[in-house]
Amino acid sequence: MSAESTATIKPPGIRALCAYFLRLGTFGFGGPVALAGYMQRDLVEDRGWISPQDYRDGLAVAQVAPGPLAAQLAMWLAFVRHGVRGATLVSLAFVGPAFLMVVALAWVYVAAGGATWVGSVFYGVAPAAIAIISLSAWRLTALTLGADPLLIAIAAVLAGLTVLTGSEVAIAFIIAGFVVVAERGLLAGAIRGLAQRFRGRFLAVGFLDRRFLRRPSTCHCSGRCSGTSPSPARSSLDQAWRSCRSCIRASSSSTVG
Amino acid sequence: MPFLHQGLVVEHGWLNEQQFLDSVAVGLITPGPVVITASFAGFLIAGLPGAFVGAVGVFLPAYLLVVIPGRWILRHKDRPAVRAFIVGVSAAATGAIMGAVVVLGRGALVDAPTVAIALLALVSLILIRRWKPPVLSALAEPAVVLVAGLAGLALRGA
Repeated sequence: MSAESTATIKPPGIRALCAYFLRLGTFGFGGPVALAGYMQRDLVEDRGWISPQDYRDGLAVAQVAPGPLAAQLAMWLAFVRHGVRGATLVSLAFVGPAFLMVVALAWVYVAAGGATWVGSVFYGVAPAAIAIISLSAWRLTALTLGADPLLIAIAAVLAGLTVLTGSEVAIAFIIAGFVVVAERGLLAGAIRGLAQRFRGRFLAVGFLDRRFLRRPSTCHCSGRCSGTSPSPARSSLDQAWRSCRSCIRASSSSTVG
Repeated sequence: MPFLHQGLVVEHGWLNEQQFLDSVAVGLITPGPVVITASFAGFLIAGLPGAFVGAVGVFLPAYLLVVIPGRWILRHKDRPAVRAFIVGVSAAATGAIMGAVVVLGRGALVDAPTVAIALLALVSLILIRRWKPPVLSALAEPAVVLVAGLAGLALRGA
C-alpha cells in the first residue's frame, strides 16, 4: 500500500473533474469494472486527485447502493470533492457522451432494420474487455485487500459466490462489512449506535437493543439534570446517546439561544 | 441486466430476444457506463424520447442513492465502525469483481480466436503501461478495443 503513504492529495477543480469524466465517458471502453479501474489508475495513482480512502468509500457506496457501479463511483468521487453540484455535473459529463453515441447507433440500427455487425464487433470486443477488467481487478486488490488475511478471505468467498451463482449477492456485501466490524471489536458499539438511531422504528433493532445492550442507568451529565429520565434520548449517535431527553432539550435550546 | 431482460422482453414484450441481445452488446461496445443499454432499448421502443426516458430511469435513482445518503456517510465515515464496514464491503466488492471476471470470461472466451484476442490484449496493455509510448499510453484501452472490434468484424463478417 505504498500509494497510501505517499499520497499528497491535490483536490481537482470542478471543471478539471468534469473534463476528466467527459473524456472517460467518451473513451472509457470495457464496462463498469474497467471504468472503476481507470478511475483508480488515473485519479488515485497517477494524478493524486482522490485519496485511496475516498476511493474505497466510493466503491463501498457504489456496491451497496443498487445501480450502476461505475456511474455511482464517479458520482461519489465528485460528491466528496464538490458536493451535490459536483455530483450532478460529473454525472452529466460522464453519461452524456455514451448517451449521444448510443442514440446515434440506435438510429442507424433502426434505419438498417437490425444489424448483424453489432454481434461481430461484440465477438471481438468482449475478450478484449476481459483483458481490461482482469487488470482492473488486479489493481483493485492492492487498494482494498493489502496483505490482510481476513480481507483476502472475504474476497475469496465473494469471488466463489459470484462464480457459483453467476450474479451479485447483495446481502453478502453487508455481511462482509459487519464481519470486519466484528473482527475489530466494534460490533457492540455499531449495533448500539444503530439501535439508538432506529429506536422504536424497527422492532428487531429495538428488541436487540433491549435484550443485549446495557443502557447506562443515569444521564451522563450526572447532576445537571435531576436524572429523573434515565432513558437516553435518540439523537445523533454516540455523542449524545448517554444524555437523557431533558438534557438534550436543554443543550439544544442553549445553543439556539 | 437480468432485471432489464425480465421487464423488457418477458413481461412487456417491447423487444424481441435479438433486439435485447443487440442492446446489451451496444451498451458493452460503446464507452462509458454499460447500463446506457437502457437508452438503446428506449430508442427502439419509442424513439428519442424513449432513449431519454431510459437514461433518466436508470441514472436518476442511482444518482439519488448516492447524493441523499451521501451527507450522512460523509458525516460518519471516520467512525471506526463505519471505517471497518467500508473496508469489509470494498474487500467483498473486489472479490465479486474477480468473480465477475470469471463469469464474463466464460461468456466471452468461447473459442480459440477469442482466447487469442484476450491474451494479445492483456499483453499489449501491460507492455503499453510499462513502456509508456507517447500517444498510445493515453489511449491504450480504446486502441486495443478498436483493434479487437475490427478483428471481430474480420472473423465474423459484417
